Amino acid sequence: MPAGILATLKGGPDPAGPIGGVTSEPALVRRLLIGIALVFLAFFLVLPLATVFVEAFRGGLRTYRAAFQDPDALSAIWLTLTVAAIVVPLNMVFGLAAAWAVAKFDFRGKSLLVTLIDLPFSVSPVVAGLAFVLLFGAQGLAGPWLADAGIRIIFSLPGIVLATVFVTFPFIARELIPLMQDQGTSDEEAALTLGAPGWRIFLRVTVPNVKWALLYGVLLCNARAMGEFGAVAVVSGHIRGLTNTMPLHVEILYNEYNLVGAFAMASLLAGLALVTLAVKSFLEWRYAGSIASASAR
Amino acid sequence: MGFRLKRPSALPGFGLSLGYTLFYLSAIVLIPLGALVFRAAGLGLGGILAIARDPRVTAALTTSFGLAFAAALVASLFGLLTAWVLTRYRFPGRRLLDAAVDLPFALPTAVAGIALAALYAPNGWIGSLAEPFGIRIAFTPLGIFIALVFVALPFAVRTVQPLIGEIEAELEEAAATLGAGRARTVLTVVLPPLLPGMLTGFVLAFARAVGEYGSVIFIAGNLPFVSEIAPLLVIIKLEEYDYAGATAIATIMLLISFLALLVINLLEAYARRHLGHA
Amino acid sequence: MQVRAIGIVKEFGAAAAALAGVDLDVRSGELMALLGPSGSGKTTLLRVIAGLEAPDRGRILFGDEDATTIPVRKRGVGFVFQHYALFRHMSVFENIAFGLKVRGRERPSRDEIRSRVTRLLALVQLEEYGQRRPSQLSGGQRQRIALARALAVEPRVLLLDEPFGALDARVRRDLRRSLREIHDATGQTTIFVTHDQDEALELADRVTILNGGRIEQTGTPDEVHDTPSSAFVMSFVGESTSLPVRILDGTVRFRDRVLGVPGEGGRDGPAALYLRPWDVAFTDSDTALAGTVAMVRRAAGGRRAEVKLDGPGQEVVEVGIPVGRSVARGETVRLEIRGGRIFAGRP
Repeated sequence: MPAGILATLKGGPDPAGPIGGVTSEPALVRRLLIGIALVFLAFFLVLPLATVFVEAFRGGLRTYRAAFQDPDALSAIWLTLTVAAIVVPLNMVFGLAAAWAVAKFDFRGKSLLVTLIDLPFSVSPVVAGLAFVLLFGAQGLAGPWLADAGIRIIFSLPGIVLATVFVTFPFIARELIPLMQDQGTSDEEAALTLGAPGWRIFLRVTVPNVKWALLYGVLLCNARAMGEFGAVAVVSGHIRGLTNTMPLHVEILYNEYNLVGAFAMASLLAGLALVTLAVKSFLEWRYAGSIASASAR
Repeated sequence: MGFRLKRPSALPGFGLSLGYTLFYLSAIVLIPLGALVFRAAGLGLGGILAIARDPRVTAALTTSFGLAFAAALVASLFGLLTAWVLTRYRFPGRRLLDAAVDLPFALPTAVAGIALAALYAPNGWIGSLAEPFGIRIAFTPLGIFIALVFVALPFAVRTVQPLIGEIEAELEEAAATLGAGRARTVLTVVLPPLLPGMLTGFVLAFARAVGEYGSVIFIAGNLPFVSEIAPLLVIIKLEEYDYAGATAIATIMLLISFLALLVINLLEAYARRHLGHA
Repeated sequence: MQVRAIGIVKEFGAAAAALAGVDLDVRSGELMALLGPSGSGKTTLLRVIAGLEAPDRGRILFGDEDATTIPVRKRGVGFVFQHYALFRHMSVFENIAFGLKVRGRERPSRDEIRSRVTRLLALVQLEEYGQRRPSQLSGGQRQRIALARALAVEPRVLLLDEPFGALDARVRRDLRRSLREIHDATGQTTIFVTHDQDEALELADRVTILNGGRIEQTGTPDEVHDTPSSAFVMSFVGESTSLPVRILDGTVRFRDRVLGVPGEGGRDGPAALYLRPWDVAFTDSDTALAGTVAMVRRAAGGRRAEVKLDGPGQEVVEVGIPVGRSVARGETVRLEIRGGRIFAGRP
């Protein structure tokens, strides 16, 4: 079938048959639209990404590696890893609890609860950071009390963690809730009739049913946690070597005109983003059915 | 408690899971935002408006909202085009492109910020192309606009893409058997059901763009009255220990976020009612 | 409008069954059913006639005009889709008016569109529903709106794909009748696809039976039921069971017993004897076939007994139970074969 091979080479069968496409545009229109989309995405997605790596390696491999010899850079990496290691499990437990309550039970105020869970998505990270400063800062509502007790939240690790938790709050919950709603309660009820206790049902029936969606949510949550900038910028105080995360360190280096250093650090974060996208795409391709719920969004 | 089981269930763990959910939601989201609202209440409506009337604040809010609106609009249109191309057509590299749409989600905003700044600066790859025409992109509102489109794009694409995938071929075939040409079929049969999804994407993109900080500040130039965005002004006020100023600006931004959420929920209810599906 | 399909070949249609050389002749004003199991190509044939699929070979004629290369939107067909394909964002009125509004220069005036839509709403007995949304209608109502929308463009031929497939039994019955009435009132040449033989036999003037991308038989409901041209048609249309028999010197033999069925020109050798339930009767004759009643059930027309024949093959024959006769499971009975149709090959 030479026609078929040709069609494959062109990227699939031509839906416009001899009597004209019923559900597609003329080939010329299609090429034009694809062309516009490609140019647009190249300008907005591909080039910025390429820039990161080109700038990072502008001074060669040696300068690139030298950028990571700096103890401040290393402590920024370490802090970012620490924050992610605290934030992701916290939000995972929350996501599972919220999804269990919302998806497996019917109660009043459920839609309000779901809306509130999504709320941090629509709040500016800077505003979120400010909220924590107003609560825990020296001039904050709980400030004097915290000062008496000798607890420091703002300009230290707890503040950074809190701000990051806020910003990444909905990621895992919103992956799990629609999926678990679609799956219903029949599996759990079946396990219940077989005499399984509650915790076992949750760990052996519910969690395995949503494991790929959970991984998906964890992935997105982690990427955002490591990359969060605005909220952390407000609460961290930019103390070098102490409260500087990787994105904040990028900013400092960039503002000091240490472009290679800034882009080198940025290239690590961009690498993380690429790995995240790759795993995400793989999960979507391989386990599409067990990630997304039947309904969109 | 206002929460009561509507439907009794045999499954255990309702109290524990809902209790924990509410506790965590309160501790992380509601109480901090409450602190902000409490502070704002201390200022009173008059106090907030007085701060908002400060020319520099007004300029920053106008810049943020105006450019966020424009960026969300452009992102919605190109998002529709991108989603259509990715869903309907088959071409080499389609999967890669599809994955790349999420880049602004995954790429830390500060990284995107310095990359866009380098790219659109007068000596950057794209900036140097525009320079001969007298167009400056970086360090002007145009640069902010570009960064916001970048940030908004995934919202615009991902809200309509599944809807395009769900369009039944039968609908387009029906329009064709009734004598409609392709252009008319697309305009009158295919696009209208996508509109609520597009609007949802627009509102999400707008809300995100208004609050965006990291991607913008590097390319913005941050010139007061020209290219200074509201989130940056919040931080500047905070650094000046002007808590009232920071709170007032943040409250206005928060209000817009709530309105955005409200609009989205109304849109979804509308779509469910009038189109027979969400 | 007479509709003819000549030598239609369609290989590897997009998600559709193939057609391997199909000839169809639908007379003007006729109501024709395309009947077959899934994968038989009946929907593909309908879509080829509509112009939704292009045939690899063959021609479609509308009257004397060759319609093969006319694009679907200019072909003048009304198509009712299996899931109706109503435009959800438009009212019922706008749905029906759609085909008139998109006509460009030949677009009728607003008043004319209005009166025509009103007449069609009356025709499908949904006068009050013009301003409703499709989502506010029941399945049967949606189906009728889809029919009205297809008729609005005054098509040369009306095509329906499994028009009653998604409806429950009662609504189906009502809609069958109203489709027949609408057809009789408009005299519209109509082709519909179904996998339901009752629907085809009850509704259609003629039935075309497809199997594996080929036409097995075209004929009136009585013809395809009473004089099926193939074993497939025999078993697909109406109830039947079959016995492996052997033809020898013009006689039909089942386990060396000569049956009272004429072997009509069948070639000597193994063959299949297909029996309608009333081709078999209970008898008292000791020499008749013996068997045991395996099951008694009620079918549409009456009661049936499944009788397992004694002997090595344990063949099962279905027997129509006459009114007034009682038959119990496990009972030993004797059967007389009074008719049936012979087809070459094994059953």
